[in-house]
Amino acid sequence: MGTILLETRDLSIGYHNDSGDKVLGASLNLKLMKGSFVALLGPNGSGKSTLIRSISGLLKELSGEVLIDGIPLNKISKSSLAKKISVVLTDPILTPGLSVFDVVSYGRFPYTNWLGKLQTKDISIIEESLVLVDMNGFNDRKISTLSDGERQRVMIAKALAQQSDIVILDEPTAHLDLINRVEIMKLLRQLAHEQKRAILISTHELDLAMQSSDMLWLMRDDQKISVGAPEDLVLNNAMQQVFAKSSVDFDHLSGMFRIKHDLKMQMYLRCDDAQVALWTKKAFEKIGISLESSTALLDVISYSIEEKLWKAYINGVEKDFDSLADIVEHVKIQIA
Amino acid sequence: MSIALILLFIADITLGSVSISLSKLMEIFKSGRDGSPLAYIIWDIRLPKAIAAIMVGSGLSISGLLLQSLFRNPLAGPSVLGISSGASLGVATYVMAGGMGVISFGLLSSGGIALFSILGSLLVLLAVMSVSLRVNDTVSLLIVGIMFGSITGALVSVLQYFSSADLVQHFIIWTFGSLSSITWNELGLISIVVLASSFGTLLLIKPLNALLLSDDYAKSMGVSVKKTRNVIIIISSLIAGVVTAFAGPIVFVGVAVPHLSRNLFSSSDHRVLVPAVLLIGSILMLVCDIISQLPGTTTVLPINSVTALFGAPVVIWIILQNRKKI
Repeated sequence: MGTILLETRDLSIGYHNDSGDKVLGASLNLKLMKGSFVALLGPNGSGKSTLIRSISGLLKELSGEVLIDGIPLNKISKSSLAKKISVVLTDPILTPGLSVFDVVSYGRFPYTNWLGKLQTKDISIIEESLVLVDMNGFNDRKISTLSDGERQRVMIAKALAQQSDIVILDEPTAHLDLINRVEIMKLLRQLAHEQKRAILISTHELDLAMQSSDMLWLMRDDQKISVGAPEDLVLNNAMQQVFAKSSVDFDHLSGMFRIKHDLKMQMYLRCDDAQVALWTKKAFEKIGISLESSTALLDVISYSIEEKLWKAYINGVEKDFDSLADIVEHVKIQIA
Repeated sequence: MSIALILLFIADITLGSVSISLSKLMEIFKSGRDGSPLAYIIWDIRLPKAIAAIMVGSGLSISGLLLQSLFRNPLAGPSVLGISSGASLGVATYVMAGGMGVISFGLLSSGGIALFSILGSLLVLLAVMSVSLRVNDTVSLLIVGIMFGSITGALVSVLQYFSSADLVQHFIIWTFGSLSSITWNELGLISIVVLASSFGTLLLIKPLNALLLSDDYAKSMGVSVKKTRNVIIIISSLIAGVVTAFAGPIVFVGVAVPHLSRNLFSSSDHRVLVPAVLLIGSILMLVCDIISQLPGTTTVLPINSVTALFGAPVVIWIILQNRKKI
């Protein structure tokens, strides 16, 4: 076991309001280790952001405590806390005219004098941070001209420039396309391991988190959190308990969720190409038909490898199709 | 830009219904108050008026910059928190209630107006602050400020409705704004408030920069957002209250000058912006004052109309110019 950087003891999180407290998590005992990449997972509204804000000192906890390097968070001065935890939030940056360099230089805030003057050392740390997120050469670009993925990299560079052991990111992959989501996750994992920081992210992208994180914190409906390596959480069914709903299936083999289609009808499929068979079945599942593989010569649906054609034999009529879209449409009309 | 400020300052003193040449000006400065009419014009009218223009211009601009940074909203200005309208309500109460014999001060004494103006803005400020303790986000606070502005505006209308035409006219003249009626004593008070506030703002440069990202980001960088917010509100309403009391409700400068500065220096960094708004605010106000004197004539335009009438097109033009560059 490595060094514990952040620990929660009997932490309860949520909001105060007039009708009492809205508790989103109770008696949480969590640990964040140096050099580990942790993903906090949970459905929307389960309290991911609340937990992120509570352990980074932005929101007061309801009860219990958060320890940073063994010291209670509320005993640490604001400026020393800023040297221990840096955050990347979902807040949009509305100020016009801020350059990439300006934004990353915010990371040096806890270290500079009352005017915020950057020393040579600060400037080289800012430049190094930009290199780490692969954004060197972007110094003078205005933040508003960047793509979402680039902007997220800049915000991560800001957090790195803050030189804190703990980096906490709220939904860093939200609004990004697939390639950028994967790259940000890979980057964060790499930074955690190479820079020996503890990186915690909240996300609802289960498949990405499964593949990249060292540990998962899985928020459950009962205000508790299941903690473990992603693989362990699959094996002990914790994953299914949180996510399995009537409309989704958790696939134990791939670690992915699948839409559960309402299957009303069964037909037979003869197909010698395994890949074509797989995708043909998927296409028919969407219209509520489950296809069962068969070797009989006269099947309802068949695929000819030589001709690269699908054939449908319904109501005594046989028809050829060169795409799944067409045959699915045809069958839909025939059975209606 | 500092040179422009000095030149304009001199121009503001020399130009007016009575033009005074530079050499004559030097002579009067050397000889002091010698009882001549020209010396009187310089020492007791032009000089305080020019200094007032600088104080009013820079003060309102600082107040506007602080509020725009706090709310991260370019529409913010001293008028948004209802502070200016609070001051107006104070003055309206004083002028009209005074007229009805409720208050026995001399009608339209400047001390009374100042007192009520500051009281009015302070009252609205306290109301807004007490609400701000309950709401945590700045946008709600902005809306609360605008609501208070509406309430005070409505109260002023009610007061006007029940007042005699004579008193309403007094009040309306005050709303036109004027720099020329400011005395040395009043100027002293304005100067102390504006200079102290400007100094306070210098100390706020770092937290102000932190606020550019977001409240939570500022907090995560070790800035006490609540404390900064309270200081900003106090400074900006103090300036607005004092300035409005003596110069009338000048609404345009506070919103426009921070914009001009950001555009001219293409920067959001308060290390640049704070000195910039002080300079540009002073320059703008001096120019407006010169224009309002209509050099060569004996007519004087209300300063509040001049700032908007001549200032607004300039701001629009500069913004359009910068759009082209991007």
